[in-house]
Amino acid sequence: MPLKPQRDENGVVIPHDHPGILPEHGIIRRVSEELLVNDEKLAGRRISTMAFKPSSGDNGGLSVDLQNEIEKAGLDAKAYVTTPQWMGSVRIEAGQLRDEGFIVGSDPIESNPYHGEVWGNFTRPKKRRLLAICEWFVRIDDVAIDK
Amino acid sequence: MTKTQSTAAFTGGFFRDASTKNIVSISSNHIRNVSDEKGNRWSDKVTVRLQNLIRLTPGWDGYQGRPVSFVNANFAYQMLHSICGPETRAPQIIPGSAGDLQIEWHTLHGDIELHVRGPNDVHAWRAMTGSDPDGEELNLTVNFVVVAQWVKEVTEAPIATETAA
Repeated sequence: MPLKPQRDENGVVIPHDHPGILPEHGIIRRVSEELLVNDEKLAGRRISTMAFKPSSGDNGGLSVDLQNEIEKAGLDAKAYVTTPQWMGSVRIEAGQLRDEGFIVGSDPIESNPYHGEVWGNFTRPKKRRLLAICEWFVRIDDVAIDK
Repeated sequence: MTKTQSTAAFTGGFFRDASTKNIVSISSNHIRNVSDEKGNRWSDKVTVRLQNLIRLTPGWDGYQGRPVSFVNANFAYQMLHSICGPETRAPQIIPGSAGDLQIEWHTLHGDIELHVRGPNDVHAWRAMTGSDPDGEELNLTVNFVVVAQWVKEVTEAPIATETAA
C-alpha cells in the first residue's frame, strides 16, 4: 500500500516521520557528476558535502528515493535511480538517519512516486556524519566517500 | 603590473552587460590586489564553470534541482576577485539544488568551502590538515578579508615535499 503523506492547504507535504518507513529501509540519495570534487589528499575524486544539502523549497527537505517503495512496485531500485542519466547513488538506512536526529517521510511527486524527503538540521558536522555512514548504492568508479 | 580592484565591484567580471541592481557590492576595503582578469590564473576556468552551471537542466540532480542562478554566479565571481590573488589556484564550484553554489578548495594544506546561499550571504568553512576536522565556520556578508587569508594559506603555501624535490 503506497505511503500517503499529509499535505497542507497548498498541497505541500508536511514534514513528518512516516511510520511505514521502517528502520531497515534503504534511503537512497542520487549523486550527480556535478557533485564530485577533486581532493589532493585523496589523490582523486570524492563526493562534496553539497550532496547532502537540503533544498530551499516549500518544505525544505533533502530529496531521496525510498528503496522499499520502489521494490514493492516490482522495480529494480538500482536501475530506477540510475535511469536515464544519474550515474551514482548512496544509501543510508532510515534508522541511521533517525539516530542522527532526522525524520524521514514520503513526498511522492508526479515524476517520481517513490520520492521521499529527509528533514532536520543539516549542519556541516551532520553532513559530514551522513557522508561517514552512507554506503554506495550505485558506485561511481574511482570516486571515494570521504569517511 | 598589478592594480587594485575598482570599488565598483560589478563593472567587470562574469557578465559585463548584465543588470546587477539586486546585488550589493563587496566592500572595497577588504580586497586583495589583483591583476587584470586575463592575468588571473583562475579566471577563465571559473568563468567557464559558472556559465555551465547557470545552464544546468532543471532536475540536473535527479530530483528537482534548479540551475545556479545568474545573480549567485555573478556574486561568486566578484567575491573570488576580492579574495583570490592572480596566482591562486582555480577553485572547484559545486551547484546546489536551489540555485545556490559552493566554492571549494581541497589541497594538501587543507579544505575551504564557501557556500554562496545568495548575494552577500555566504557560509564559509575551513579546516587545515592536521587540525580539528570540524574546522572553523563563519557567516559572511561583505567583509571577506578572513577568507582571503584562508585561501592564501590553503592554496598558495609552498609544499615541503615539492620544495625538497
